[in-house]
Amino acid sequence: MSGIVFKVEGMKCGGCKSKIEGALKNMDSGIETLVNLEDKTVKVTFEDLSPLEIKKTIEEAGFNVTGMNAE
Amino acid sequence: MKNVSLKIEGMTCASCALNIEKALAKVEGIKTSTVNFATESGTFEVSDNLNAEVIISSIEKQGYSAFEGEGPSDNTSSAELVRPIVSMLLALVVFYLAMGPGKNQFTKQVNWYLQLVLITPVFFWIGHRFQKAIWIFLRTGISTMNTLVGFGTAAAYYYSLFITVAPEKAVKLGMNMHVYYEAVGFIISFVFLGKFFEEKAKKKARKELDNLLRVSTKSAWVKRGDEFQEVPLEDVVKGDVIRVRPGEKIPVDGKILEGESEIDESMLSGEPLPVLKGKDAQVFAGTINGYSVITFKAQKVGSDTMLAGIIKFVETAQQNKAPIQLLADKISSYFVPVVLVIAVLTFFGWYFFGPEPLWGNALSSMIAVLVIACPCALGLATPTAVVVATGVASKRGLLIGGGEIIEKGDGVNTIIFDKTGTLTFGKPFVKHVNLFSEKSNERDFLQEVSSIESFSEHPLSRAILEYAKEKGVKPGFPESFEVVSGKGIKAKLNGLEYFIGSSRFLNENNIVCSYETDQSGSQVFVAREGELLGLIIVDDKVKEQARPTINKLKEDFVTPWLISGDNTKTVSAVAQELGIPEYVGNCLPIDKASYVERLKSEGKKVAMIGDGINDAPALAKADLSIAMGTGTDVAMDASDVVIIDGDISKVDDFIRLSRKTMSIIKQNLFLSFVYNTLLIPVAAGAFYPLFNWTFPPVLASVAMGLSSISVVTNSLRINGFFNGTRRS
Ligand SMILES: [Mg+2]
Repeated sequence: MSGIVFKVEGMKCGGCKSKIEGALKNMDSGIETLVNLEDKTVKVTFEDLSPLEIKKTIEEAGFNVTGMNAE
Repeated sequence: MKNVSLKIEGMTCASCALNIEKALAKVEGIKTSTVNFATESGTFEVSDNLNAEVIISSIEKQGYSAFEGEGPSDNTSSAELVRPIVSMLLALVVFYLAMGPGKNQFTKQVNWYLQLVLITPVFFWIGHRFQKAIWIFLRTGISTMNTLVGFGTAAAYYYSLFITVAPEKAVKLGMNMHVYYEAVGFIISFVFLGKFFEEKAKKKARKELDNLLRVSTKSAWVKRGDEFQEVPLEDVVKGDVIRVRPGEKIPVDGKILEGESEIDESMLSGEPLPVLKGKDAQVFAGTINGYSVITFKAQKVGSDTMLAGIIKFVETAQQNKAPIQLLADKISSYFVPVVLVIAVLTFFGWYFFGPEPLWGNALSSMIAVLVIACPCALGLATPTAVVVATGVASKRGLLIGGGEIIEKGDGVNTIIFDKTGTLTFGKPFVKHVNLFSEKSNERDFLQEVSSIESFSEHPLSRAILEYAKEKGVKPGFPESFEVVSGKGIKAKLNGLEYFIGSSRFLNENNIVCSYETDQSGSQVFVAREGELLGLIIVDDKVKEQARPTINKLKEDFVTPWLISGDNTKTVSAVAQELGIPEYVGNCLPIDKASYVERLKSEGKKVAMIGDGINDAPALAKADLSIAMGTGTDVAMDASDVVIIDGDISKVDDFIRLSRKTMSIIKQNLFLSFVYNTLLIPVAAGAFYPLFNWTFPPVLASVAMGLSSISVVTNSLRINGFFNGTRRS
């Protein structure tokens, strides 16, 4: 298990939140996502995935990833 | 008030468009009308209760046709085919009756009447435009290929008609009792066949400028009271405060109040790298915001924005483009008056010096001159060559929109190149890697840098990643990374802190970074744990084919120019590398167009080659425009020729192909005139005093066959044009 916090631009509301959560769940059902609209962060806990793939998924959902931090 | 848009067909030049505008100005309820010749369309501002039908009927009164929406142009190809087929079929039946086995099946009288019935629709319906050309000639003195065909077919038709319906009278007058119906049929069929070929060659017709309009957005986030609201673009006024989020298009022109972001201005400059813009910097409608939010004050809205200016410019430039007079028409304009004079002289020659019956001989000989003078293959001379040439060209990846374009290509003596995306790839590449530290080698260095860059979407990062991949480096993952908009990336990899970006960015983070280089390109510095590790220079790359192409063009007596939106230093470096003596940098889209204009006013025949929206005004202004198929749709729409794969060497291929094709067309015109012209003296009766020869009408058919076969065979020679030339 590893956790990464992504800085994400463009999230505005609960809709954006569930969009990101849904997209990541689609990649792997074991993924855990914690979206914080206030801090503009998405915390992702996952196994067997590369951080780059997760970043791409968030971007494909229509958001900009401007930073990341492994915990 | 409402707007009505119509398709308008039948306009032959820009003055037709003006005529329509003028005529509609007088119609009640129509406030303004803008008719565009190039796009065959018109937009009309009319009062709400006015029906589109009123506009359509007013346009039709002027002799043009108008339709709502797409109109009938969808099925033109099949409609275009109906006429030559019907006319050819009827002509063949007439030929069967006149010279084939049908000759003796009926009495002469019945046979002639049958021919008359069959050929009358060909003459009046299908050949309508040729009779119209006679009227135009009589009224204005302007003669074209159609005038020549008109006189020839009208003379043949009416003479034959007279003989058919009043044979006794014709015999009494002593007229030559021969009908020319099959000549009428074949001449008209051939011309239409040629027309059909030509239409077929125009695969890519002029498109509308919709693509340019699509560049702009439909709405904007505008501050109303205390909060930002999404409002339609039309409601944005000067002075509005507008917020643009990352990745969004900037809706109007203005000045940044707050925020700093990299903005993709390729639309204006043609450059792929975004430009960092902060407070007080100018932003433009249609450009794309990068990673951060900016707030700006609207200064120019609606038709005042730079984008609207470009659209308007391209539209008017296309409207004012004078159609070139086609070579066949040019020759006809001299040939027609000469033939008419000879015909009249023939008439009087026979009348005053010929044997009895004076009227019959004079009339028969005059008609014979007019009929034989009409070169049947004339209508095929240009289109067959154009069809073969466009076919050959498209196999080579060149899309050519028709015959005029080949005539224009033949005359070109100056070519203006855009730089980025045209002579260069328009894509950043790593040009140079410079290591400052003894402790590192290039492979390790690239490994570290690409691991971090793999998390960035910036064009510079993409270039570095690609370079690392070429070197066989597999990027890993940083523990953390952060984009600092417009400056660089801050990251942690293997527990070490990295700063990658501009020297300003490194300096701001207390890393001493001063490095001078005269190399062009963007500099990406890399620092690890506060120590400068290396420098990567990323720059656009010149296409390999660019230099040989420039050299070949010079050999072909075409002067190259380089006109670019990039800074003069880079432009001059590329110009020197390629051996282009004339270059200009820092050009806005409209500036490029004014250079085209200037060179044209010096009497040069100017071709423009470009790939971007920023080239569209210059492309529209140039005598000949060539777009890169790898570029934007807008550039392609504004162009005559498209190089599908962006291979620059095909520019020279096109110039040489058009020169070759033009020389074939000239030979064809000669071939289509020569047999007929040689027979004019025979028809006029020049050999009568010596050998007692009068004109045997079968000679008209012989001349028709020979000239047509010669022309088609000659055109087919273009097929082998690129054989033996190296394919790149
Ligand atoms: Mg360009």
